[in-house]
Amino acid sequence: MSDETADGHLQELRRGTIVLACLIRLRQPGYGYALLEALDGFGFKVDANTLYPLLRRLEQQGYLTSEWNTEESRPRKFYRTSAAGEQLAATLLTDWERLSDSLRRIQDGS
Amino acid sequence: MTNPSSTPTLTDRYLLAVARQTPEAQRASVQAEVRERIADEIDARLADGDAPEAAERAVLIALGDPARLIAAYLDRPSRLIGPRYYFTWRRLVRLLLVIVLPCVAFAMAIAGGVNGQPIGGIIGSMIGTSIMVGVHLCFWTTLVFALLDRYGDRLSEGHLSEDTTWDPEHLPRIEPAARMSIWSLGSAILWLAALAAFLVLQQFEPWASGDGTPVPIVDPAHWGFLLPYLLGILAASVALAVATYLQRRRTWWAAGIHALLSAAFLVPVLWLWTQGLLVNPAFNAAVGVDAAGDTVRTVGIVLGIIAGAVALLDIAAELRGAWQDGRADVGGAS
Repeated sequence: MSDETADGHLQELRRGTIVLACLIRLRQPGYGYALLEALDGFGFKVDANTLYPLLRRLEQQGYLTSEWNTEESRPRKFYRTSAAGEQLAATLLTDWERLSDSLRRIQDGS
Repeated sequence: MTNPSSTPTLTDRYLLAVARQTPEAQRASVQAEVRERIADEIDARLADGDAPEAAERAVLIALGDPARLIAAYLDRPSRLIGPRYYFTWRRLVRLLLVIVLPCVAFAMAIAGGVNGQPIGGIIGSMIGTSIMVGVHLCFWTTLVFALLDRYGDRLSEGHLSEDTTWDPEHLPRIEPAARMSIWSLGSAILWLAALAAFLVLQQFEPWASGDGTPVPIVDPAHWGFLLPYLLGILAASVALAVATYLQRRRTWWAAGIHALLSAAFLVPVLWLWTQGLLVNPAFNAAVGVDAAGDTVRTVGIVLGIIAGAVALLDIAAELRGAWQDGRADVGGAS
């Protein structure tokens, strides 16, 4: 198996978890670059070309709200998880744990 | 990166490219988001000790081709024409429709007039042919763009394709908008004033008669409606030219009103002209022209076609100006 195809599978596995990480992290309002750094600090390597459009999409779907902060030298768009976003996060998290549990049981072969 | 000086930075050019390829409804928000992102990423590189210009370049290269970036931001569904060509396509189709359809309608009117068709038949063939031409125009243009969007990369060197490196030098240059100058305003007013002066002074023109009594060129009966109406349109045209100059940019609105005014002036004049009702019969008699003769009729139709063609060129030039100024305004890369 080449590295490239392995990378492809890894990316697929991680795709949904980025959404989950964003929803959880953005309970505290944050802007794109700060979120990128924060996720990186937690070991979530996210490509900026993935993250920025994702934030925009989540906002359009109503899972995030946003507000332009113009208090600092440059205007920045601050995102925050909405009520719908909280619900989605809960659903995703439950499913993540259920999957992880299932995987463990498959491994144990019971 | 904000740019206090007047020289546009690569970032300004990137943002202009972004603006040009984003639909109006989302333009401001996408541009603001990309601007924030570029600034933050440049700051991060500066903090790592990069030189400012190198940092900007590296960030833009990492962002990649604006068309691809926007496609990701807008999350477009499957489509016939992608973001790279969509706006060019839309502009071209609009421009073609606006220029070609009036030409077609005008040509049908001329042809109908020459063949002596009744007015209802002429209008019917103008509408029918315009619709047919419009449908063809949209279809073939769209087909070419759809093919270009799918296979263009394979045909060209493909600096936009994924496997070759995109270079910020491909970004559009920011040029100062070509504004309407005081000279073009002056010449427009001069021309309109000359036309108005002719319409009034021809009433008192004495050269056609042998004895110095005035013989009006235009049938004096037209002072009842046509001549005041034409003078009104000329006045409105002057007002429009001044307004366009004061706005310092040519807009689609102004170009549209200009087209309407031109049509409002020319259509009745040409119609009366081809019917032989425009010129004063006394004037024809005085200069010895047989208005009903074939030669005069043919010359009249040729002159009418030339006048119509000049008017269409003029309308096209105005539309082109509006397009240029609109392009220059998009983005406002500050």
